[in-house]
Amino acid sequence: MPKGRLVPLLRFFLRTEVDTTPLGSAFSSERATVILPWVIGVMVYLALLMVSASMSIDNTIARWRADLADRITVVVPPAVEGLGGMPLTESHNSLLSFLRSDVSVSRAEEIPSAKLQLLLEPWLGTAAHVEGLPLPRMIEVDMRKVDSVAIAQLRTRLTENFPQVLLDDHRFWRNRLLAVGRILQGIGLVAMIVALATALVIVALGVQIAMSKHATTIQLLRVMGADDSYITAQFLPAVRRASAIGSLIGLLVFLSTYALLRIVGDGFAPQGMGPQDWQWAMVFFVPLFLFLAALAVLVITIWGRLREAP
Amino acid sequence: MVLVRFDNVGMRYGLGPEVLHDIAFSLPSGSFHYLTGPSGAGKTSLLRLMFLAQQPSRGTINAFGKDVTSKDRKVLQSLRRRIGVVFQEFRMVSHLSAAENVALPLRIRGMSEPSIREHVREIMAWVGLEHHTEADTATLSGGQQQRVAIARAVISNPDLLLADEPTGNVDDALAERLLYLFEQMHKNGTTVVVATHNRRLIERYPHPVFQLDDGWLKKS
Repeated sequence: MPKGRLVPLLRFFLRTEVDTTPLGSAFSSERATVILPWVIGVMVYLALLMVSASMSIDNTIARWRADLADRITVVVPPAVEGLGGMPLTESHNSLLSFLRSDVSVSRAEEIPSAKLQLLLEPWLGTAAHVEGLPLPRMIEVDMRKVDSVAIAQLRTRLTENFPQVLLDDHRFWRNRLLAVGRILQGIGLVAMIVALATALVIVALGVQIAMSKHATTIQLLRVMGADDSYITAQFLPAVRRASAIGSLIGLLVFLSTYALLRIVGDGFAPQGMGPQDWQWAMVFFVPLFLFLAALAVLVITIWGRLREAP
Repeated sequence: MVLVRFDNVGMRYGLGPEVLHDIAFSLPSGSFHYLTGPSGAGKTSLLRLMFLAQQPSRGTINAFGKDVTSKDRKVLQSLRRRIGVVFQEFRMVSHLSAAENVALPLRIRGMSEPSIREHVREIMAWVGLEHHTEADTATLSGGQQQRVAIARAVISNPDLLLADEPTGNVDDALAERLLYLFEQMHKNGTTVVVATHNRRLIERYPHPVFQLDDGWLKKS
């Protein structure tokens, strides 16, 4: 929209001295108008939940990408006593040296048993000792460049020298998880749009019903020479108040929900849960957007109806 | 000066049959005309065209020197402010008091609140309802509501005053009083068109008559 039209429109939306004598009080006290803030509040709350869920997924995806981007795992099965007939410790050192000297590898470190225990803690509890369990030993390998060719070449070299060792390429399950994450994120965004659209449709229907109910008065005002702005102004304060209060209700309930989750899930909440940093701007943008969109819907609905008559 | 001119105007509602045929007449500024005819002859339709609530299906209408068939909304809105209309069924806004109803045309024009109060007080006195300004319109009699409707139509001092059967729901004495108000407006320079069946009033206050019959206009 050109700036020359946007500024008067915003001024029209926000002006406080509006003569609403003919219809304003009647419209404000109608049951549909009274419940409108609550309906908008619920929709804003749902939209913010969806946005927040979508952001959480986005943060998780970003973390997966960063953590696993250039990493593979070399697994030494527990049944292997020693690699190539060498004693156990010596064979592991030999494997580590082999990996560290490979041209495609930037870092190779064995995952210490304490970290393994930490990883298994959700299933085995804190009392279990991994030393006594037949667990594979694992080596984290950061590659200089991860692609199918580089991994295939490393796998070939590994198999030639350590045939019992397995190479786990994370990309397969990572890509599938990313795909699932993206789908969930998309569903979240669609649900958010549906929630916001539902709120706007309710505003439009409320205004349509009010216009039908007061059609005689609107026609009378038009016969007297009322322009479209004057008739729109009859409904403006009530819709502006309903959308502002509704947006605020939705935002406050969402912030309360978020704070509650942080308190209850203290220490357990996964990293990246909820909005982070700049994402908070989006959280505040959603109710603001709905507030402005509700006013735009009001104008479009009324002007559309008024233009049906000369 | 011609205030309103119809040239070869025909009108139909939607795809229905034509209800007005080849209407052609002129209203000189400051004139007074009656519009008569049996029920269903098209009087209300003709008045709707005159107060710009309807567009003709064919022909041209010129009001206040402007072609109103151009459908320019802003032009129509500004021209409507120069027209006062008294409806047969009063059309009071039920949740507003008598004074608030009368004040509507001034509010639409953006007049200040003190000026509105002053004008309303004067006009309510003119129609003899100075003691009913704050009354709920539903509590007023038919005659009182009709006077409120007339006050509302004339408060903005319109150039053209149109009244659709203003005496249809009132007794003879009140009908005469209402017509006297229209006469006063006419003497002040307002162009007046009154649609009525009341032959006695036409004889009492004689003016040119437009006779509508089944959508055809005759002037007598």
